[in-house]
Amino acid sequence: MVCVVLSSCMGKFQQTSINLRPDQMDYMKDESINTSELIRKLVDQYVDGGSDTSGLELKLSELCARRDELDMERQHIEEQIEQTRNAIEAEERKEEAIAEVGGTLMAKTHERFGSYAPSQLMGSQAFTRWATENDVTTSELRDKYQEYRAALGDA
Amino acid sequence: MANRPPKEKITVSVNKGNYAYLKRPHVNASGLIDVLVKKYRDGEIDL
Repeated sequence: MVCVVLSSCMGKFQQTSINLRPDQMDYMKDESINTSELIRKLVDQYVDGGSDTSGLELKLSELCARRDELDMERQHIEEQIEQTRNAIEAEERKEEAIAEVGGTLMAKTHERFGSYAPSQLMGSQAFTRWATENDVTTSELRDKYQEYRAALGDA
Repeated sequence: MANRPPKEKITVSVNKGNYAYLKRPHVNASGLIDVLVKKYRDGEIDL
C-alpha cells in the first residue's frame, strides 16, 4: 500500500510525501530507479492517457470489498435478530409456565422473591408483609412458594 | 494477523494538474499509485 500526503508547491510541480512499501523501495533501489520521476510519469500517463483502467479497477475492488463487508454485517444482524426473537419467545413461554403452575399469587411472589435463597425467606420482613397483604400466613405462603419453586426447577 | 512492515517515507513531485486530480475526494491517490507502481513492476505498463 502507498499513502500520499500533500505538502508544498514547487514551480510547476506539487510536492507530495509518499509512504512506500519496503519491497517497492528495495525494487527502486535495486533497479536504480528515480522514484519521484517514475511516480510522476506513471501518474502523468494515467491521468493524460485515459485508457488505463487502474483507478476504476481499484474502485471496483474497493466497492466489492465494501459490499462483502456489508453482507457479513447484515448476516450478523439477521442472526442477532433471530437470537433476540428466540429469547423473547423463551421468556414468554417461561412466564406462561409460571402462571400455569402457581397462579397469579405465586407468579407475583416469584417476581418479588425469586432472587431470595430459601433461608432468606424465613426471616424476611418483606416476605411476611407480602403474606399478610395476601391474607395468608407466612409459613403457608413459604411452603407453597417452596413447592412452586421446586416445580419450576428453581428451588 | 501478521504485522505489516513499516513503510518508508519519501518526497516526490507531481504536475500540478495531476496533483489536483489526486486531491479529488473520489480518488484514492494512495491506492492508485500503489496499483500503478505494481503494474509497472509487473511489466504491464511501459513508459
